[in-house]
Amino acid sequence: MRTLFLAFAVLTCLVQSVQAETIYGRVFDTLKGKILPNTRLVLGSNPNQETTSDSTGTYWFRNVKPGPYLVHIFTAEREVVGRLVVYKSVPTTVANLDLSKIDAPDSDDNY
Amino acid sequence: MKLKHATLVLAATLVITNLTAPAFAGPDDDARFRGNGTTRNNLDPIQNGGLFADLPTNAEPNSGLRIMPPTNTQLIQGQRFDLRVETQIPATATVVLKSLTVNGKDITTSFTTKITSQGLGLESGTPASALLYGASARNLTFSTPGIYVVVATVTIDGVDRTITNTYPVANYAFRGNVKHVVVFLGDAMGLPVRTAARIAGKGIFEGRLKGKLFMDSMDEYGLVATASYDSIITDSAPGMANYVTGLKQPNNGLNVSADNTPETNLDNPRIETLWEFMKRTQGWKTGVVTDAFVTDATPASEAGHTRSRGDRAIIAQQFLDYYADGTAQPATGFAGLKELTQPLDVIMGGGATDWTVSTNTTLQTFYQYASGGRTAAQQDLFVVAQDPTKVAATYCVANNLTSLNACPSNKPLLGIFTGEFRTISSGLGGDNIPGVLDRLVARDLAKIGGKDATNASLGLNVAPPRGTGCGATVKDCFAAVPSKPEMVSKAISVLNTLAGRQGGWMLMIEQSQTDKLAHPLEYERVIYEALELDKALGSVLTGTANDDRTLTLVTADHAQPETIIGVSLPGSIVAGGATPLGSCFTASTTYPITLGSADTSTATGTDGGTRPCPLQDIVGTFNDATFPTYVDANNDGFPDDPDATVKIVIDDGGRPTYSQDYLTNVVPLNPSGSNAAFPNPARDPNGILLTGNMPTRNTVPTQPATGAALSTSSANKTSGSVGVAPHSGEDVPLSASGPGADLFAGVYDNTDVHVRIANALSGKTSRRSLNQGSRYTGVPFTTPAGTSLTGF
Repeated sequence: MRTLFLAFAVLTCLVQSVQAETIYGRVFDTLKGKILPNTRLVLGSNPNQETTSDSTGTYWFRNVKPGPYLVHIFTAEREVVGRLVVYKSVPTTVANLDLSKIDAPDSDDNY
Repeated sequence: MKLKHATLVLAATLVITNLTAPAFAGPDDDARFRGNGTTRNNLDPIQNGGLFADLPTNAEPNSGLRIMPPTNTQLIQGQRFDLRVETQIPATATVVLKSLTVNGKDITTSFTTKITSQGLGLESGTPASALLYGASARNLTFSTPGIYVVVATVTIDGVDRTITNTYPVANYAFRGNVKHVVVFLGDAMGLPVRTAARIAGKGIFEGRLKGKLFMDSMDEYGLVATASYDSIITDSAPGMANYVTGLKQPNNGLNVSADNTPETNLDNPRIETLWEFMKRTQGWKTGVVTDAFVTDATPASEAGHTRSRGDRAIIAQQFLDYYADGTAQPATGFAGLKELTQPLDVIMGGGATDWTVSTNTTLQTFYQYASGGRTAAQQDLFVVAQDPTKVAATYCVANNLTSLNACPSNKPLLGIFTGEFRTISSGLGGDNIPGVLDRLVARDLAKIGGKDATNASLGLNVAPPRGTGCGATVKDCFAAVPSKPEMVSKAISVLNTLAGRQGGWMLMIEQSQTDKLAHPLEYERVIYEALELDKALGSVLTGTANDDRTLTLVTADHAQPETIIGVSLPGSIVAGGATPLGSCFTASTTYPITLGSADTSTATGTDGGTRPCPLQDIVGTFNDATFPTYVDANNDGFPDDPDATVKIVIDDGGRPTYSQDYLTNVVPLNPSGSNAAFPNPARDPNGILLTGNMPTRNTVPTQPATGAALSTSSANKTSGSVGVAPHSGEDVPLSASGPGADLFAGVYDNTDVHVRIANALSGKTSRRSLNQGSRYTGVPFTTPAGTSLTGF
């Protein structure tokens, strides 16, 4: 029984060491009421991962290890840095990047 | 061998997935409670690991399948809401709703039939992608109180995925003992603001209060947790909307949930507000009064439905319940929304640009807008509001105190007043009516640092910049703007008349500038705002609410990180004296640096010379704080001058870099200059530099090359930032008086206020009555039949 337990623990460690997840989301700006297509995204890691949102603002990062990340969003006007967490054992992390939430409001009226 | 290892790993993965699936399958809320209501386990959703990156939510982890409203939304019996089922992660083939049950009753056919009858697209919130599922059945209700478990199963790529939500539905049965509900909302009016207002407005002697505010003397007090659906720091949209719906809403949202169609802000699953509910079910009259633009988040929370609080032209139409194709709020596609919204009977505030068209010359000559206004296609809502073919009951339209008083009390009222349009002011904006202190100066009831309205620096004794429609001088225009007590008095007169002796009404009164003037750190003005709210409150408590049939609440939607740190004696620095004003920071626009005792430059004389910044010495803190010396010689309830000999100092836990001379700015000014790292050179150039402590927004004039290290990015923390103080996340006080006030004692979530008001309307008066056997406020521990979900 003890052997089985140890074997299970070792296997668990092995699984965690190779675990890789997927991030899916869309890039948009609720307050401006627009989707952000063709937007360059960089997931800060070592090495960085890059992708570009498609015509519907959809993006994917694949083979991402669980943990906290900064995601750099390069819009036409500026770079915005968001934060996300990829959890263990969640097949796909949904990370919608709503600039009206991530970014500081453009106007005091939006407080 | 390698293959074997890989096989072992794969096998282990499958085993572990199976073993851990229940824990990670999304928090199955209903499974957490035994039949007797005790907790089966202690795993909160967030501990289970969430689907969202920084936002764990109740969703099935492989597909993002979720149900709206979010689980644990606190509904009341008979309240309308949209039931939505949606996936979030695209499948590879069309997703099919396999089953939908409510307390075990299969409602799949009813649901899909309703979607068909509503029509796809905007009416049902249909996603653009066929690989996502999403459908909202509009305007359903639970007709019986109790606990409902809704289970949705969809088939995705041949696999069934399931998610479960729980809805507590509180008892509601209108009793008629409460006929009026008045909610005073001091935006960002946290405890420090209340305290500062009491000290400044009532005084303190030998440590004893010389008087209390009206808000200090109410029947009961509670503390409210203010978090929104997606942040511990709420903005004013969910901050208020949560109070009147029971729905935890996302930041920037107004009485909707976020959904999987971010390209469309108006199709999100909605919920009925108490204002709409009471009008629909009891015929009550409803109103909102504010000093902000009236389509702003707090007043819009009573009657607006959109994912974006920025939809101001649309919100204005929803206030009037006016839907027309070609306008900002079309009719086509919004039959469900039209069925939900109700027109407000009293609408008062600023922001004429949302109401009238750009070609209406009064927008410039009266309201002093340089630009803006509705397009011709969007229509002039001042005209619409008076057209009996377009609104259910025509409005009297007012634009200043005189026309407001001239409006009859037997017609709905639309009052839109002039804003803080002085071009020398940057701290408030022309959409919002002038602050209390500035209106008092305009009425010759206060001075700023000894300066009255004739002082040129105040910019009051001059002609308005764009015509004299509102008055010959700025002073005249500001003096003609009604005060909050004047607005409230008229609002209540109209509501009483329209409701009649047997009817009832609900009124939300916002003091927006306890927030809007705190963002630019205009704290002296914030105190005046809180005092005006209190004065209006007094008129209600001693007048309307003196009938034992008015429930009055005073609270805030959130706080700001303000705190009272002591007192200052700005008059102690004498011009030309040994410690003259100035020299407190370098004039550099690159790296402003505070000069103090640590400064070693000979140029500023720290080597035995004069101290460089006497302002550091005029603030008394801790033991040395003593007491302020505000004077109210004219007995109007406000200090005659905010710059008393000894005055309160409020500082902020979140701020941009700015300079401070501890004197009231003659006009509201933004604290920051070109960005949050540099002070506004027009504000206190002789002040002490206080370094900012907030993360600021990045800009990137040039992007790093693809594949290049991000360190080569030109992203920086000094450009384009919004240089104002933020909101904060601590609880806010709530005071209550009138029948049912006892229900508001304790510590509770902002969504609980909705249920407590409903209980007061149901004749409940004791806090103990809120415990009806379940862990939810006012909810019996029963499981009604699924047929209690009606509206199909």
